[in-house]
Amino acid sequence: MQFFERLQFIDRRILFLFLAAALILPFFFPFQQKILITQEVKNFHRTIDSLPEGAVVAISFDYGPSAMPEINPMARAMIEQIFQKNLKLITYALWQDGEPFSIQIPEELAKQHQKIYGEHYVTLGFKPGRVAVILQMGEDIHTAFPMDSKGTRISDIPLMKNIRNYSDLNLLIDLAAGADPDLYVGYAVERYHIPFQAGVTAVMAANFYPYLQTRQMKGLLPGLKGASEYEFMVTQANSRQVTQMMASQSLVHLIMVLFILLGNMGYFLTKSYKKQTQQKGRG
Amino acid sequence: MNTLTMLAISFQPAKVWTPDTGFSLDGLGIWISAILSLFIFSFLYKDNPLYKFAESIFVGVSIGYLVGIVYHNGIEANVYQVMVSKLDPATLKNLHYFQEIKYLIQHYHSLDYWPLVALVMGLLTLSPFLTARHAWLTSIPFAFYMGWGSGVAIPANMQAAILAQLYGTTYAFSVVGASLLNGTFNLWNLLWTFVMLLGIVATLWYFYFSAEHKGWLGGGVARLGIWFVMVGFGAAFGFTVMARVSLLIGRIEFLLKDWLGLITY
Amino acid sequence: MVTIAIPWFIVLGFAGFTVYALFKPPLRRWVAISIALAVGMYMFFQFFTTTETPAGEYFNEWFQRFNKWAIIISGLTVILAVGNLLKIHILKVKKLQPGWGYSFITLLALFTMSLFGILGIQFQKEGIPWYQWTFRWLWKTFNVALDSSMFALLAFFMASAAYRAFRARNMEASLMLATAIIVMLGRVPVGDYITSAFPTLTSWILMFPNLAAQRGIMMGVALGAIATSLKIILGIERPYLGGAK
Repeated sequence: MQFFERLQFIDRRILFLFLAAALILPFFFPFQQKILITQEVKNFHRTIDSLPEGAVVAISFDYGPSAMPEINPMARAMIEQIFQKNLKLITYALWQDGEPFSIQIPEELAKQHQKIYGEHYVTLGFKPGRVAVILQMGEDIHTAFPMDSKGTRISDIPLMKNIRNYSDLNLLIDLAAGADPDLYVGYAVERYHIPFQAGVTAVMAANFYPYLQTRQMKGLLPGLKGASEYEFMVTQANSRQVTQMMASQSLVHLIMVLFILLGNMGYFLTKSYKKQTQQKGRG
Repeated sequence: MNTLTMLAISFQPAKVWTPDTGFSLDGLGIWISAILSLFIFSFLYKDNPLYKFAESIFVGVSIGYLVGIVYHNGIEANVYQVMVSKLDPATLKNLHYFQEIKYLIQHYHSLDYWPLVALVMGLLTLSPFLTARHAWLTSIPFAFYMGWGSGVAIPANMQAAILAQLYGTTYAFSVVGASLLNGTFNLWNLLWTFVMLLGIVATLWYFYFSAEHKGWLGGGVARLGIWFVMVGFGAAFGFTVMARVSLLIGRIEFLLKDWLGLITY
Repeated sequence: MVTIAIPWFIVLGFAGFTVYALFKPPLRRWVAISIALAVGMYMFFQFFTTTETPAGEYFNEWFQRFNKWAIIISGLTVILAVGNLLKIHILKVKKLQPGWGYSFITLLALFTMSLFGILGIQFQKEGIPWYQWTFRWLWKTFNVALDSSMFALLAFFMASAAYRAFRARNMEASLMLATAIIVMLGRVPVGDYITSAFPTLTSWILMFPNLAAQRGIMMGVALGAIATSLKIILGIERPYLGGAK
């Protein structure tokens, strides 16, 4: 086999080795990178920033452990911004695996900001049904979530006394690993006209740009890059964790592109060589 | 890039037992998680019994987790708690099981019975497992759920995914038009807005299979449609790579930091 | 009066029809078909009602009731998932079929997790018995690790597949390849270091051609969803009958 033919068939274990090196090395040799903030992330930040003190924000945690590395940094930065601005927070989950994150992340940050459960934030836990819950929250949250995550009737919680449905919320945010933002836009935004924005995994991000253009979604955080941009806007610096993850991400992307280009180079050179050989054969 | 900094490598693996604090359940949990992660990663070499073992546990714990969560958040909260919503919660909390049943019977007129309709319907899903003769009863809850879902889906899809998107497309032109009036007109914005409109029409035409895509107009527009779809797929692929790599980085971080303690921050 | 009668007709009428159909097998499929029709039409027309009249409010009360029933039923479908899993794996263990050991492990994991889940789903460990917080520890130890690792594997296979299969064989493949490379480099900071054109082009791709394609696909899917929903409500398609006509 010619050299350029071999370029197309490099053993995948060599690729895996390069990828592993690109993944692991930045953990030991971290490097800072310039963060370019995109417009959709700026809009996301501005939407929360423009809310008055005491406004109520609801966050839906619709992801599982498989999306944790991308979405947990977004969730932390979001709740950080909400608590910094003294907004009220309600969290819940429509995915069963999102329930622990919807409870633990707010509690962790509430301790840092001295926020009181029931007064400044409430965690409602998980509810099965997705579309049914989204619709019912538009009518009466107290019947969609009769109890909070601690087993207290939500009518007994001070924060929830005056919150009956979407019209009592100022902003709804969905942290999603699936197509839940589509459901929120269709069943909550269009029906009940609640301001809405989402933080999503990069897999789904490309699908939601039409909603940004129609302003059905006020802002969007797409994947880990979106998380790093947003975290930078909220805290003016990236956490060590996100910095190292972005460094690994950069290197892996570079290596993948190089290998794809190598494979294509081998393909075109092989094709050209075969064409030349055929022409010589005819001649 | 700023200057590279070399992190001093430490080695502080998660501890299952220490002389000061004794047995650590969290430490044990980290070791189990790490070993299971490595079992899953062993699939990169080839399919093997360790991977299959981890996979079997995954299936079991996923469904088991759903059972636990749905029992408390679905059935207990939305059936039982709604039924007793008019009763005093403090009184109920202090009663033991049989006392509670007696109390509920005494206050039967204060109970909300509507959730029981849904509970009965939901339990009908079990009918195929109980008796073949009455297995048809399982179609009732599914018919309700699908009818309910279809009924709410029609206006939602029409409003959000068709009318609003049509509005968004035409609105883009009105934004360009407004820029003409306020002096911020940019020919490129108008060009790209036309490209967007062309792309939407071409994509819709490509997916319309009731008419043949032939001729320079029919075939040409369909070809243009597939080009736009390919650009969309390319963007989706680029994003998907990012997502999957992020997950892998998350796992590597867990193994290096939480398990082996090779990095600290 | 009519508004009050409609939802009562749906519930009581169909309860009676179901009991009658228990004794008349040919009627059985019509129970499900007519439930789907009635509930579907009710939920569809509710969208166009207002709560500013007493009749509208009553209509809305039943809309909410149907929503709450949907929440309960969707939670109870987990019984079906558990039932199917038990059926397959118990049979495998009982008959000692190949791979029965893995089935046994699955059943053990299922029972353990379910038992601790029913006993308690508390997060905090202080002041409560150990069996009430064990569920959360099991989730953190097993679910998180296994779920994350399964998906993390995909990164390697995606890289390998992209390297082997991504070839610019024709115009369509070239467009997809070029877009993927621009987006992959434009979405990471290193792309900006190579050239500032990468992030600029990436934003342009996402806001114009990608948006156009996604919008076209979204509209097509929505039209299909509306057509399918209508077919289900009108009984033309009957997926809830499970293969029976």
